[in-house]
Amino acid sequence: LKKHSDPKARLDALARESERHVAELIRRWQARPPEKRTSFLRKRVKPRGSAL
Amino acid sequence: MNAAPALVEIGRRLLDAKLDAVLIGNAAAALQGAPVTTIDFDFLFRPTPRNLSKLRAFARALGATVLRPYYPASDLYRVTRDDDGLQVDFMGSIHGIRSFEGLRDRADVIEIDGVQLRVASLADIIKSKRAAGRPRDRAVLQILERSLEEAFRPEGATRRARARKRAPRR
Repeated sequence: LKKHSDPKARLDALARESERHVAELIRRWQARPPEKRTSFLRKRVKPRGSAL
Repeated sequence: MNAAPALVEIGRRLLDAKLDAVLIGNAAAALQGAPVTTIDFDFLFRPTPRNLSKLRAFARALGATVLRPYYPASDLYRVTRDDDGLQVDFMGSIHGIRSFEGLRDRADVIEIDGVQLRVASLADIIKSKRAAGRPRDRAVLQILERSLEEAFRPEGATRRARARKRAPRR
């Protein structure tokens, strides 16, 4: 593996990686039919409660 | 957490109460293809006396209570069920959307386990969040806008764009 020593190049690559990840996330979500896009609910946890 | 059981229950109760409402907010955005999350369900409706009576019937059928708005002019009616923390907000108006009828006409009908729900378009959700401008709205705007771009991207466009990038320049 080629080692990138330039910190700016590393951070740019990291930003591009993050952008790519978001695009993949959106594409994966949209690949499901609308009625299957239902795992979006966060559980409301009472004070001192646990979601587990 | 899977929202399907709650959406099915809400959809059935809305139908039983004959209450015309359109799902908006992050729940609607998720169904329309944006990978976002939420803790409640938001609906736009017309707060006529008849609809408020239907809203009470809807809440009764859910085993929930309707909380009166702290600021009555807000036209926000919060339906909450203590047993499982279900929260369904009904709004008479929202930022950036001029009429309920317009939003309803542009909405899609999505069927979940045989129950149909009217879900606002992603473009309307973005318009509303941009107009509201609260920090939590602004926080999701970018992902909603990118989701809308992806939804309208022609099939294979990304692959073509990548191929163009890789192609040697002449």
